[in-house]
Amino acid sequence: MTDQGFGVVRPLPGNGLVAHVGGLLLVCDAAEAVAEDLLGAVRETAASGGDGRALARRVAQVLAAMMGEPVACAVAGHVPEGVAVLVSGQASASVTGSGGEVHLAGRDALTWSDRLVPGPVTRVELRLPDAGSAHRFARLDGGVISGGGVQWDPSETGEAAQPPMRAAQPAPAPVQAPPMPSMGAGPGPAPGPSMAPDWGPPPMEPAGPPMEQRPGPVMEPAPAGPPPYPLGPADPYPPAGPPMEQQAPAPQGWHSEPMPAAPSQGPGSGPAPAVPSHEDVDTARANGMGGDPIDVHNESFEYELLTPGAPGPSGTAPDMPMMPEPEARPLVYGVDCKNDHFNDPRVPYCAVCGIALVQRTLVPYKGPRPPLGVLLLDDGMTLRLDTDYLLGRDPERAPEVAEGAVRPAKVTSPDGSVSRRHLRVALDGWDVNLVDLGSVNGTQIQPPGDPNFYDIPPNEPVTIAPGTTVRIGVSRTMRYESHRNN
Amino acid sequence: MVASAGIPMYDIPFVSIGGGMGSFVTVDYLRVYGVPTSQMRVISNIDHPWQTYEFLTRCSQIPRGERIRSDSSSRPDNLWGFPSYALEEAWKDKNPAYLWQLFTEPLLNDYWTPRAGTVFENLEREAKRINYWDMLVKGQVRMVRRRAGGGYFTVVTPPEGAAPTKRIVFRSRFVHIAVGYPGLKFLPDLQEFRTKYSDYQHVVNAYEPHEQVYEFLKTRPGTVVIRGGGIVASRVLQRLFDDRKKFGLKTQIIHIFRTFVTGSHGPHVWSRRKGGDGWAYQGFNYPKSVWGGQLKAEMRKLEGAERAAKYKQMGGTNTPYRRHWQEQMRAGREGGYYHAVQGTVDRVERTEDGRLVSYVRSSDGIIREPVSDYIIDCTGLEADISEHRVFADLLQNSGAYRNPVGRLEVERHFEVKGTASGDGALYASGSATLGGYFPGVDTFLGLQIAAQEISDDLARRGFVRKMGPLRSTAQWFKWVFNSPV
Repeated sequence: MTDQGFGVVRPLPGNGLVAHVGGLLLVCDAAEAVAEDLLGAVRETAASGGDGRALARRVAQVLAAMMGEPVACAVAGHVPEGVAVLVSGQASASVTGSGGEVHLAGRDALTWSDRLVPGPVTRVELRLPDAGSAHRFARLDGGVISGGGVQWDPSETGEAAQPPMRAAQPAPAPVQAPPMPSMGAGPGPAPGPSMAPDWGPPPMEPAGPPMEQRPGPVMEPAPAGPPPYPLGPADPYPPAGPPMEQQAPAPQGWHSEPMPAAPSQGPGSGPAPAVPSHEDVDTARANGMGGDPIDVHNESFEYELLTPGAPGPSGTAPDMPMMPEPEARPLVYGVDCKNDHFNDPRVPYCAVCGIALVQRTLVPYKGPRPPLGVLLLDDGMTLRLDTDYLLGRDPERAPEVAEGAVRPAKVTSPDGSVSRRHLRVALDGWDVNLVDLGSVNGTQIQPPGDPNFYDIPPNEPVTIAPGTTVRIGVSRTMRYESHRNN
Repeated sequence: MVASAGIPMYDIPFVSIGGGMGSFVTVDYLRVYGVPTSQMRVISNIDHPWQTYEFLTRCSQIPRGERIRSDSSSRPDNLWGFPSYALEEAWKDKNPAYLWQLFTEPLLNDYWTPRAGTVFENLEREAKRINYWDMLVKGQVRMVRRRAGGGYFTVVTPPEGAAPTKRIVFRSRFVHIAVGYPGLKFLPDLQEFRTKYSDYQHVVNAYEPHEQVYEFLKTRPGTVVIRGGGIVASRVLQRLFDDRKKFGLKTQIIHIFRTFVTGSHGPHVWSRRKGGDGWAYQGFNYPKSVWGGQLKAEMRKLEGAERAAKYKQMGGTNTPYRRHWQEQMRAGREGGYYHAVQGTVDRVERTEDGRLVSYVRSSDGIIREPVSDYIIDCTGLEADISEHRVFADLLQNSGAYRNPVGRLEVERHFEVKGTASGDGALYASGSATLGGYFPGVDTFLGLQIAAQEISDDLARRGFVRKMGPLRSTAQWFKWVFNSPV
């Protein structure tokens, strides 16, 4: 914790928290419960040799998990091409770079604002609203203190500041970085072709590999087709993880909007599941299903999602998070609530936080589709509608199951009135459709509030509304229920 | 300037924003007072005034055929309040027992309340009578701003394709805002659960559609955790008890109260509220003296912290006592399938077998970890008013400010303080104004009282004629015969 490499950091008086760990800076409201998470993000990023971009990304994840509660915080750190800054809530930042002074205020953004300011950067200031001015002798070479902001003059000690704290500079991190194996490995820096060029040791495995490995591809397919609407200009979702690494070419390409639907937590969109190619995602709702169906009958049991990886038809439902949830949730046009939760554009209230959707001008864009509801069979089996299903007496041998296009759900009846391949439940956009696959005994629906059942024509999709009861064959029934029933 | 920018502008003297119950009641008053439809517009994104109200009551287990839980001391479609819903239903159903109930409530009987369907049907009749739909403009209000020469501009985004431009502007002397609740606020731990597990079906809010809970329980025995001690909790509980009986179910219910009321409570002997078994009971939504008694008189004079304190004293979650439901709870306790506990929930997680475990901390230090199939959040938290863009804009740009309980500060005649503009005025009514000089603003009667104050204020300002007894009586007959105002 000296100034080596990254200039002079001066704390500004105030009531928040100021942290400086290995050239990464954080200013946040001390009263926020999330302060601890933010500090953790800084420390971990420093420990794993991450740069300003990695820090901003981690902080964005922390903020996304806050469900849109405005959190006053600002972070900054080096990146190879300059300085990355992120501000949220009441915090603000100003950065003087090659292109002049850049101001950012968290209040101007719906979620947070971030920017990559091309170097050389001569001054960075992060402030909470109550910050005073810096004393010229005050310095914060490392650690966490109370304060209202921080001023950083990368140039002050004369060092170039930019690529300062690379691998060779493990000093900063030691604070809390026992696990920095690769730290010492000086040679590390020039590892991959793609990743943060000469920025420290290759970012630690946990966060890194899956996405970093993918130098090029990440970006281009990302735009997810040409959304007719301007919103989320470049890429509504990819941001969740990938953007950082190969962003280099376009310094400004570092978006903030990304992570709309809180993908950070979504098992499907997080870093792990190397999202194949977005087109696939888009078109195929291929959830890589296939696999053991669940026998509803033998197991008196309910069941949440049936998935290939699921522990078979035991008596218990698999734990959702474990579930290899469809890695690529299909993309559909939806809208964000004011707290940035992705929703069906037709619902009156946000499905995550409850805020009214109708008060905003809704700008649809394509995002990963959340579950549409459930199918509840008469024996208690519950099928979560996050993918297509094939219902029947013997669904697992159906070709579409073998291809992995649908999940099989075994439904039998004592009277044998359920066909082998009886009914396909096909999700289309935000709608749930039934396609009777030419079954012998047919499929009937009873719309909500209607006392009668009606036959549906074979091989034609029929959209059903929440509250609809479906009769499969003669004696089995199920209901479609959804929180989106408006 | 606006016009020169190519944005179409309409001159309408009175604009009401919201289009729900608050707007309806207000324009109903003004129509009865004599304002022609050409002088007023309601800007809304819903098609009929009871739409949101019906959605919320339906979700919270009050479909049209069920009786609402609020008292029936007023009716939003009839500013005179006579004949009451009870008289009307007694007449229509040919059931004089309703009247007997009225005479004996609350001693021998529960308070009488109308069916939700009765309320909606009457609203529709009245809406047609006053030509409500001639005044309705569909659109999204972006902001209301003061105009330099007095009055206000209301900037609206019309539905796509409905207008040639993306924005239209209304220039008006008076604006009324009744946008209702900015929304619900789901409990943070439940939000976290939803996003973490991408599971929207097992942890639900009572104000959103959650039929899957009841449907699931019909297929197999299950356990439900209910959180919250208000009216909605009582209604959800009743549904679970009813289903249990009707379908012979084995549903187990665990009810978590953050504040567990064990008996009568209140600051002194003259100001007590009954309670027990966790609930705080109240015969009415509000103490009755709010409407015309000492509480109304007292509140009218209080400012700042004193007013906030008074609200706190009379506030708190409470629920009307209902005999039928009390018996159900008693049976549940005795039968061992209804368990009420005090505690706050730290978090909710999924168990290995896909069920839900709640980590509940009681004030006595005991930590319980009930496991359930479903959790129904009945806490009914409301979002802050600044969550609504129109209010946020008013607070930031138009001089409006918050009252002692954090909502919009309004005058005794419901003009939003600090927003006067020339000879114009900006009014607000409904839940956004809770905490003002008049309590009970977010009830039917509260909306009507606000509408009356606003109409009288508009009469003082010369926008409409004063309403005297003769004209009022004549208008009442028009209501009775369903003839146009």
